Amino acid sequence: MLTMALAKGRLAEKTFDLLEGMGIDCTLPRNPGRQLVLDVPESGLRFILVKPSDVPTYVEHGVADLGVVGADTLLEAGRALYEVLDLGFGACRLCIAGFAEKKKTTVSHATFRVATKYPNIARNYYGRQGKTIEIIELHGSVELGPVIGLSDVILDIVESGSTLRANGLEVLEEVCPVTARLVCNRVSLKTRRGEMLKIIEGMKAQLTEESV
Amino acid sequence: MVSRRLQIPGGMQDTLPEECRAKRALESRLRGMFTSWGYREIETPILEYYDALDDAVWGYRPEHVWKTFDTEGRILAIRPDTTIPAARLAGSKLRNVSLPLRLCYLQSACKMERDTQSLLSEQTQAGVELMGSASREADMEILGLAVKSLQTAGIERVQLEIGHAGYLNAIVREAGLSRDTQSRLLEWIGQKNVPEMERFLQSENVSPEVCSCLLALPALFGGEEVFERARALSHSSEAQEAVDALEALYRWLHAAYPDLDLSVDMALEQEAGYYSGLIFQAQTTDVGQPILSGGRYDHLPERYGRPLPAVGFAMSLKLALIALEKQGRFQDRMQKGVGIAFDEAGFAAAYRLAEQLRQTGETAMLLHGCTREALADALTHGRYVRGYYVDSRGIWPVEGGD
Repeated sequence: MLTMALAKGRLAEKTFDLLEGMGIDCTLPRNPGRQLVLDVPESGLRFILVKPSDVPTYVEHGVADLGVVGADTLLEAGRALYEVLDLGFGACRLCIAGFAEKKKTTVSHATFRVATKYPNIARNYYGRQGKTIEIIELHGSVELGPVIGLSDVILDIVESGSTLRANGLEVLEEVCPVTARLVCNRVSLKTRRGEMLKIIEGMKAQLTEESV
Repeated sequence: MVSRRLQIPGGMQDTLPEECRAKRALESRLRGMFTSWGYREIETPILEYYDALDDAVWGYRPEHVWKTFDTEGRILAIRPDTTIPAARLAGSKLRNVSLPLRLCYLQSACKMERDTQSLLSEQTQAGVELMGSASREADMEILGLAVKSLQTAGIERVQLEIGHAGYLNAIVREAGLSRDTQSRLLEWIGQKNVPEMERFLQSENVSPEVCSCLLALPALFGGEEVFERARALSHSSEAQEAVDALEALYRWLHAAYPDLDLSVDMALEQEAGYYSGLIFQAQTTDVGQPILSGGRYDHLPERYGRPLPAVGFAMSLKLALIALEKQGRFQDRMQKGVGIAFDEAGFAAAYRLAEQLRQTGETAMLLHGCTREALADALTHGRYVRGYYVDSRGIWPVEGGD
């Protein structure tokens, strides 16, 4: 039996759509109630429902063989996984956003302050440009940062941009596009090659079918 | 501040009696096996000069190496593996020893893990290095020794996976890309990250043929059918030679160990950057990371003053023990001993009795402050194999109740 780690919500629903296209019954995991481990023995799959940012952890440790997770989470976590498929859904962009014109201060804010849920991505992005920044790690409502004067900009995922606009912010730079990825444990892919490839190739075929 | 008196740094581990016993037993089995193959054990210091590690060349990133300073302010590194110190020895103190040099070690190595909450930074490794032979037979000896080590450890359902550093490098170099691009591509190939490769190659000016060749690399894994696919992908002589060499090793392994689960991955990646030819690792479905890894590192010893082709591997004892435990083969039963209780007048006789028992190969323990009744109670609970009570009148066997 293979174990797949999924984050509750849209990514999981979209993943179930793909799996159902392959003839895998996802009724149980779609309606988990309070259960966190859901077995679909006739398809040889076990689903575990976890927090999005924990998906890479479960897969790296090998307690999950497969996982579906946003490219943003993968980039931030930097774990040793195989990132085998771009699932296309969950599309958004990682962006730098802030006010188009901002007040220039010299002393009180000598460094450029970035509020973000993605400290590693922020460090690498600005590091490549040789810029020194101060990272303010937040876990939600990151947009508040520039509005309330906590930071100069934010680095966050942007879908429609409506939250930004509602707070008077706009996208200043695009860091990279984001989509959901299928990841797998490095050992599982080899030691359970047949089962793993069946799932990977099956999902790939579904994606091709969809795009035609 | 919360006191750290009872804590140990993240990524470190205490080894408690049951695990330690199983670990030592595993070590002694492996040591015996390495010795029977003619490998001689070495120990190297926990600290090396940081600049001697040459991290830029050998793939250990500065942030992954534990560091400290000596009294002169020089930077010292806690050894990240024993292969590099072994190469240093080959180029210095073992310079005049006749070749090939067969060395083995059972000692720890430290790597700064980014996630020290869940990944161990210090791991005991059991490893071997065969230096001074570039022959295919030397590769076979090391592969065979790796298989024997796993068997000796008693790990079941093991898969041995082989790859070749030369193949990947030849193909990526052939593509005619900048150095920076090459290293980014190698990173993605190692992650089997075809989506990112596709995105990147579209934005670069790369011919369709080169593109499809590079994009095929991550999928080049499986059984022996991989060799034909690998040959079809590149006509460079270096790549062809790598495939030929690997196929010969595969065939030999299959013939020598017909029951062994063998896997080939032409895009296999190892953390250490010094591998130049064969690379391999062993894994089991029961553990999420490879238990053993190694390969050929022909250019490492010359950095330490002695050009020597070399090949070797190291097994993580921790991961091996985890595999044994998950497979229900972990023997954690402490050997029970004889319990000897005594009163003040009986101590000298009790001490002599314990010594006599130990000389016959038994484990004997003096039970300080233990009454005859408490000993009988402990025997009832099966804590000792036998019990004696010693007082001024003599030695009395004690029986447990039921």
